[in-house]
Amino acid sequence: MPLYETVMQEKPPIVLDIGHAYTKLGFAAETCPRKIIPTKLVLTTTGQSKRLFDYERNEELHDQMVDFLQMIFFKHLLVSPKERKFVILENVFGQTVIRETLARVLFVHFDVSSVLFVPSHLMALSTLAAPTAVVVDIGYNETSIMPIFSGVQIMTAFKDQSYGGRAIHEEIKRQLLREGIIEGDDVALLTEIVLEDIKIRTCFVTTFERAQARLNTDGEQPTPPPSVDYAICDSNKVIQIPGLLRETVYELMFEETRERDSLPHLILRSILDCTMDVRRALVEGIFLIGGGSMVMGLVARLKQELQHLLQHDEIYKDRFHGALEFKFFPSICKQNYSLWLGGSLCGATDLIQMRSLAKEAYLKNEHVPDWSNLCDNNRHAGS
Amino acid sequence: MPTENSIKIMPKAVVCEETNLRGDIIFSSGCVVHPSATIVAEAGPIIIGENCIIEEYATIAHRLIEGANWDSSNILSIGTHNVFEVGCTVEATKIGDKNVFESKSYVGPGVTVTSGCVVGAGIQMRTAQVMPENTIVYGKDALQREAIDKQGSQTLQIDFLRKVLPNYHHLRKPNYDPKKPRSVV
Amino acid sequence: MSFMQPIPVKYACSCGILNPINKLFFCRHCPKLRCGYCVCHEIESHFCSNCLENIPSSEARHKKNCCANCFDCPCCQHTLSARATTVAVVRKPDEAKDKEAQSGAGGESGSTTPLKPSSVPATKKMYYLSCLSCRWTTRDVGIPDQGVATGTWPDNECLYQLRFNSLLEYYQSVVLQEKQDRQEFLRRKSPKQHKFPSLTDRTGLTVSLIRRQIGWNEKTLPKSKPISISPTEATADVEQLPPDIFTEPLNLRQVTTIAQRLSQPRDQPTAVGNLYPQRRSLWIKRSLRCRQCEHNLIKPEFHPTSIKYRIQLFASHHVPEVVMVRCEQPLKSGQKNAIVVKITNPTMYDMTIRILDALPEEEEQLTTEMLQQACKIKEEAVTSSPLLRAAGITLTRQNSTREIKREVNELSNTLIEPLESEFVLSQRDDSKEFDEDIQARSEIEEPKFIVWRKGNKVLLRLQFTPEATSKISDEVVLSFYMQYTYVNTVANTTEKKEPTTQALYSRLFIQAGAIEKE
Repeated sequence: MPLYETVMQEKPPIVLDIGHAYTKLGFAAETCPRKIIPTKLVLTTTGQSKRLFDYERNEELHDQMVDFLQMIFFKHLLVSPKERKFVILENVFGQTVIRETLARVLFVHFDVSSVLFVPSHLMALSTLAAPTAVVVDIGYNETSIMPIFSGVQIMTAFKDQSYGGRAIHEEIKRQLLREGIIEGDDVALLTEIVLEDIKIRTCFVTTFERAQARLNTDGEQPTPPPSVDYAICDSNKVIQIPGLLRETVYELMFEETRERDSLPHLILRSILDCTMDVRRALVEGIFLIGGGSMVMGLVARLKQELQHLLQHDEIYKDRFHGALEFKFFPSICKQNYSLWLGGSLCGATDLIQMRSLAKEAYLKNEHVPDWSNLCDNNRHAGS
Repeated sequence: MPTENSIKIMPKAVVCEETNLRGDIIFSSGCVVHPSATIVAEAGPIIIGENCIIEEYATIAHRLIEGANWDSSNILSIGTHNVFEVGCTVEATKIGDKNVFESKSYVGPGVTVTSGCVVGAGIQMRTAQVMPENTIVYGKDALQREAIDKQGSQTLQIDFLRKVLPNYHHLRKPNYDPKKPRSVV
Repeated sequence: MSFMQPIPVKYACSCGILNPINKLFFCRHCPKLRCGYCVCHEIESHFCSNCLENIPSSEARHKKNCCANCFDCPCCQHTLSARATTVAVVRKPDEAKDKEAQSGAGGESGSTTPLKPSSVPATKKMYYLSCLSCRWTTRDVGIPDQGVATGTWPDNECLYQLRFNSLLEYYQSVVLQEKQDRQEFLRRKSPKQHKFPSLTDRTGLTVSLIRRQIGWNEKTLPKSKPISISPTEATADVEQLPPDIFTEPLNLRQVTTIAQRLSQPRDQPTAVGNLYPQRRSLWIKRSLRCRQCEHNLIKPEFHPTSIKYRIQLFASHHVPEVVMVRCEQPLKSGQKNAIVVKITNPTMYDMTIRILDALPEEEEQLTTEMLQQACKIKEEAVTSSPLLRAAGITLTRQNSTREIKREVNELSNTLIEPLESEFVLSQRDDSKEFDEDIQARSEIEEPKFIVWRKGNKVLLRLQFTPEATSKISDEVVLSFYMQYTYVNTVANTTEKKEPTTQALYSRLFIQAGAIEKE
C-alpha cells in the first residue's frame, strides 16, 4: 500500500463539520475531533459574541466566516491553513450561499490548496461500514432524514423538520413561563446557555407508556419525576424545574399532528418514499446521529412509537407488509461527532486527491460545483 | 444593638487592635483576626468558633432585619476552622465548620452554610438557600460542585500567623478565660 | 488617552477596512497600510502558556498540540497544579528481603506472613493534581497519587481504535481499487498516440503478449482487492431508560455541564466521576506577512518568554498619528465649527504634511486604475454564481498570494476644509522632550491654522461645517486625506541605496461627536 502511505506522510487534511450550534474540528485519520466548540465568534468591532450563521448581508457572513476560521486555525488547530487540504462536511440540502462563502473564504482568504465537500449523511454511515440505513440527524436547527441504500442517497425521500435543539430550548422556556416559574424581567436570565444546560442536565425522553397515559387526559396521570432546584447566573436566582417539564419537553418530537410530521411519522414517510424493494432493509437499519440524539431514552421511545404506528396506523398498515421490526445501529463513537468521524475516514483515503476541488479549478470560475446546479450536471448532455 | 460593645476573647486567640468590632462578639481560642477586619453584631451576638482566620477587609455581619430589635438569643454561630479571605462579606444565617470564603466573595442573608463549603473568589450568593456539605461554588457563572476530597487544614497558617502578627500589630488582650469564669481581666 | 474606550480617529487601511492606528501595520516595501484582516497569518512557534516551554512544531504535531507536562482541570478548564503529600511507606528493599526470606524458608510455616513491624517506615513524596479555582483533585475521581511530579497520569484511551483502524484500511483499499479501475479505464479508452506507428499495432501483437512470449512476467501491478470488513449490525434491543429516573431525585452536581463534556470530546462523560485531567493545549506565536510583497510585517522573537519582536512594522512607528483634541464649539447642524487635532511625527525624518479633502487627480486616477484592475471582472462564466458578486469584495492576483480589496466604507458626512498650505513637522527627537525653551521655531512665521507646536508635535485647527440636514444626536463623521512625505530607508531595488522620499496618502475618519440640541 505504498500509494496512500505517501498521502499520510504529508500534512493530514483538516476536517471541519460546521454545525449550527457546535463545530467539530480536527485532522483526518484521527479517531476523534480535536475540539468541539460552539459555532460562535467574538466580533472584533464590538466584542460581542455572535452565532456564525446570524447575518444580514452576504458580506457580513464572509467577514464572520473569516474571523471564525481564523480562530479555528490559530487558536484550536494551530496550523497554517495555507496550502492545506480540507474536508468539509455539508448538508446536501444546505444553503448555497454558505457553501459558496465558505469556499471563497478558504480559497481566496486562506489560500488553501483543495477542499472536498462531502455529504454529511453518507459520511456518518461510513463509520458503520454498512451500505444501507436510514440516517436520522437530529441537529440544533433541524432534524433531517436521509435513507441510503447500497451507499446511494435516496434524495427524493429526504425529509426534514424544524424540531432540533433550538425547538427544545424554546419549549423549555415556554413551559417555564407558563408555569410562572420565571416571570417578568427574569426572562432575560433564560439565555440560550441556561436553556441548553437545563436541557442537557435534567431532561430526558419519557417512555411510550407514560406518554400515552399523559395523552389520555381523563385517566390517571403518572406521577412526574422529582423536581430539581436549579441555580441560574451567580446564584441570584434559584428556580425549581418541575418534573413534568423534565419529562415532557421532548414530546414535541412525538406530538401527533394532522400533518403527520412527528419524528416517527417522518421516518416512516421517508421509508415509504423509497421503492418497495429497499424498505425492509431500511426498516432494519436506522442510524441516529447528531447531538440531539444523545438524550436518554430517545432510541427506546422511537422504536416503540415506530412499532406502534406500524401496527395501528391505517396508512402504514396497508403499505408495510410482513412482520417488521425496527433495528437501530449502535454508533461507534458519540453521536454528535459521527459526521466528523466519517469525514476523518474519508480524508484519510485517496479520495482527497481524486475528488477535491482544487484551488486552480476554483479560481477559474469562482464557483463550487453543486449537484443541484444544472450547469454542473449537463456533462452528459453538453459534451 | 446594646450601646456598649461586649467583646470576649478567649486565650490563645490573636485579635488585632485595628479591627472594627461592634456588638456582642465572642472569639474562641485559636482565632486569628487580621487588622481592618469588620465584625458587626447588630441583630444578636456572634460566636466565632476555634481556629478561624478572618483576613483583612473581611466583613462578617449579623444584620438586623427591618423592624426587628437586638435579640440576645438570636445568635450567629460560626463553627471551627473557617477562613474568611481578604475582602469577603459574609452575612449568612449560620456557618458550620471548615468553610472557606474566598476573596471578594459575598454571602447574603438567608444563606445557611453547612460544613466543608468553599465560596469561590468574587462569587455572589444572594438567594436564601442551604448549601449542602462540601459544596464548592466557583467560576464566573457560579457553578456548584461537590468536593469528595476534604479541604486541607489551615493549622500551619494559623501557627505562622500567631507567631508573626504580634510582631507587627497591637493585639487586643484575651479577656475571658472559660476555666476561671468569674475572673474577667 | 483613549485607553479602554473607542478611538474616534480611524485610518482607512489599504484593503478598505477602517481601524485605529494601533491596530494597523505599515509595509515599508509596498509602502502601504495593512491591517490584521489583509495580512497573511503564519505560525511562528508553539509553546505551552503554563510552563512557557517552547515545543518544536514536529513534536507539537506528534503530541496533538498538547503540552506533555501541563494539565487542565476537566471541571472548570483552569490549569491544574501538582500538589505534594508525604505518605509513610514501608521501604521496598525490606519488603524484598522479607520475600526472599519467605521463599528461602519455603512453605515452612505461616508465621512470617505479616510484614515485620520493625521495618523502618520512611516517608515518600506523592503527588496529585489539584485545581486552585474549583478545588477539583485527581483524588476526586480515584486516580492514584503518582511518585513523580510530572506523573504518568492516565491518558484516556480510545475504545474503538481497532475498529477505526480496520475501517480506515477498508476504505483506503476501496478507494485505491477505484483509482486503479479508473486509470485502467482511461488507459483503455485513449490508447497512446505514438509518433511512429508501432508494428505491434498492426500485427495485433500487444506488448503484454510479446512479453509473455519472451518469458518476462506481467508488467501491470496485480489489482488490489478491497479488504473485507464486517459491517456493524443493527440491533433491535435498544438502551432503555433507567427505571429509577422517575422516582430518584436528580443531583445536579453529579451531572456534567456541556462545557465539561465537550472538553473531553471522545467520551463526553455525563457523570462527574468520569472527568479526567486533560492535557493542556499549546499556544502559538504568530508572524504576519504582507500578502502583496511577501515581506514580514511582524516577526516575534522565538523564545516564549520574550515579548519582543525581531521585525515590527507597526503603523504608529511610521505614519503620523492623529489624535482628536476637541471641537471648538458644540456641534450644531449647519454651523461652522472647527476641530483641534494633534499630529505627531514618529519617524526620524522631517515630514511635510498636507491636509486635503480629496485625492489629487493623478493620484486618484492611479488608485481608481488600481482598483479597477483589481475589480476587473473576469469573463462571466455561465456557471459562476452571482451571489457573491454583490458582496463587493474583489480580488487581484499578485505573486502567488492574493490581495483582498474592498471599497472604503463611506462613513463620513462632513468634509474638512482643506488647509491652504503644507507644513513641516520635524523629526522625533527624544531629547527635545525635556527641553524647556520652545523658541526654536518662533522666528518663522507659522501658518494661521497651527495652534501650537513643540518638537515633533503640532496642534492643528481644521474647519468644517456639519450638514444642515443632520438631526439632533446624529453622529458627525469628518473625513479628510492626509498627504505626508515618508523617507523610506529600505531600498526596493539594488541600485538605489539612498533613502527615497515618497509622498503617501492616508484617508482618515474622525468621529467628532453627536449633534447637540439647540
